Amino acid sequence: MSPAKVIAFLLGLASLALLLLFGFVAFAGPIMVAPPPPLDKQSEGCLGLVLFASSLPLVAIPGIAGACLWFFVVRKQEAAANAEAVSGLDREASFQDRLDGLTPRLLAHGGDAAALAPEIPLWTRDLDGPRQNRLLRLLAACGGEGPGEIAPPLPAIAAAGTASPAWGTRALSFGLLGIAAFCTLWGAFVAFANLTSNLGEILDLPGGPKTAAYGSGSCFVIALAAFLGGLALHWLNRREARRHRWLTIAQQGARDVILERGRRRLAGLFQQDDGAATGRIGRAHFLSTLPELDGAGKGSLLAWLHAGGHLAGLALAGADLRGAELVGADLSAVALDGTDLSGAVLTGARLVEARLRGCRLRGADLRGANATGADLRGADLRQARMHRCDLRRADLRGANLEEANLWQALLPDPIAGSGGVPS
Amino acid sequence: MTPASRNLWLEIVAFGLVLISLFLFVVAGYFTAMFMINGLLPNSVPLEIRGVVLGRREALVSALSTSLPGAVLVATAWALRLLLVAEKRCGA
Repeated sequence: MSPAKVIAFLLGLASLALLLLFGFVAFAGPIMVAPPPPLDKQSEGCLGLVLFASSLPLVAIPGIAGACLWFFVVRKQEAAANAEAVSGLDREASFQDRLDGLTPRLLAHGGDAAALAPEIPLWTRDLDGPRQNRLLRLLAACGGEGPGEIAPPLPAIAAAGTASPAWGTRALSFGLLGIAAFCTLWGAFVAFANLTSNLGEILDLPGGPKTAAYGSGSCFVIALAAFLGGLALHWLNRREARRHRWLTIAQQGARDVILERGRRRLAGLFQQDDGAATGRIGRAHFLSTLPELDGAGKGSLLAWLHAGGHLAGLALAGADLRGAELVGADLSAVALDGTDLSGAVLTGARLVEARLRGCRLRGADLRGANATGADLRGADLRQARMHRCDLRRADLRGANLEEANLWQALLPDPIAGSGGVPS
Repeated sequence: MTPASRNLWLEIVAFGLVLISLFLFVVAGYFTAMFMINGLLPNSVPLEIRGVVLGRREALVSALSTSLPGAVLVATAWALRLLLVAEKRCGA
């Protein structure tokens, strides 16, 4: 839930609690407690009304602030997220069409994006900000004199409500309902204690029905406010969970379009086999597509490229393969030197003779992976989970294995001279 | 704070709440037992605090005044447990 929603809710809850409290004090107070001299000539009902009316502006301030925040900020954020979710699929499909049109132009110029500079305004026309950046990153990656650098993608502006309700709001909802239950029970207990026993006299408290009503009434007021607040927050949490599921499905649909069209475009490119230009454009497409995919998508694309034998022709140093899901994948002799595989899931993967020199594998899951003969020189394997990983004949010279879990892993034998161990 | 350490602290807090509630129940039981045993003694003298004689109702109220918060603490610990279960289900 976005901070704006939580603040709007808390302001509304404060307003409700103050309304109930001042209402109770205004109408029950004059009956229980004798008003001071200027006001003692008024009837109890008039006095209560005057007190309540004078406290209304104070009570209304947080409520109005919360309502303004909700209607002018939260609803706008939700509308923007909904619009993106509804139209995102069509816009992504038309953007992929544009990339399909751009690729032959790049091929015609031998992969030299600088030659297409006069056409850039045409290609970026009518595109929204993030898609313009994606297209420009693609062109920058093609470069003019060799494989260009992929600029990091701009941080995604997360639309409000795309995150599922955090544990904090769920805990707050439970807490409010718990407070309501406790205050209800305590109010009943206070009434029972004052009406049936004289224990209050021990603490110099006057007993009797008035004390019982005032004491239990104040507890019930708090209970009512907490109960309504807890119910409202519980409803908000469920609404957020439903929205999150719907938005996730919409985003996954867009990612599926990106993956499928990207695969088709790369397949078409590799069929052309135009030498260096094909490799440069293919690399640019691959690297610019990766940030838009989730872990499963990255793993699927990488496995497809490796199975087709296309990875060797692409220089992938610096590729963002964080979180890629490659469970059980056959990546024997794969060339992934210098890539970022932090947090990747490579459980049970086959990495025999894989080239992973200088790779970032921080926090990666390599449990049960077969990495015999793999080149892991200079790899960052900090906090990697490598239980039962087969590293025989692997070259681990210069690798950082700090906090890596190597329980029952088969390590290279330095005495036999096979592989290398980290210094 | 990572989710794992946060969940661990929540479990520790829930366990602490249960321990405190046990203490409150023991206090409630102790004073109730004291009152009942005093009544069973031959020639028992009524318990009195600051001029207020502690009868059955006072004993009931004093027992409820500690056992009720104890029950609330147990309910809070149970709610924390439900929260952890729901969190685990969402994470899974």
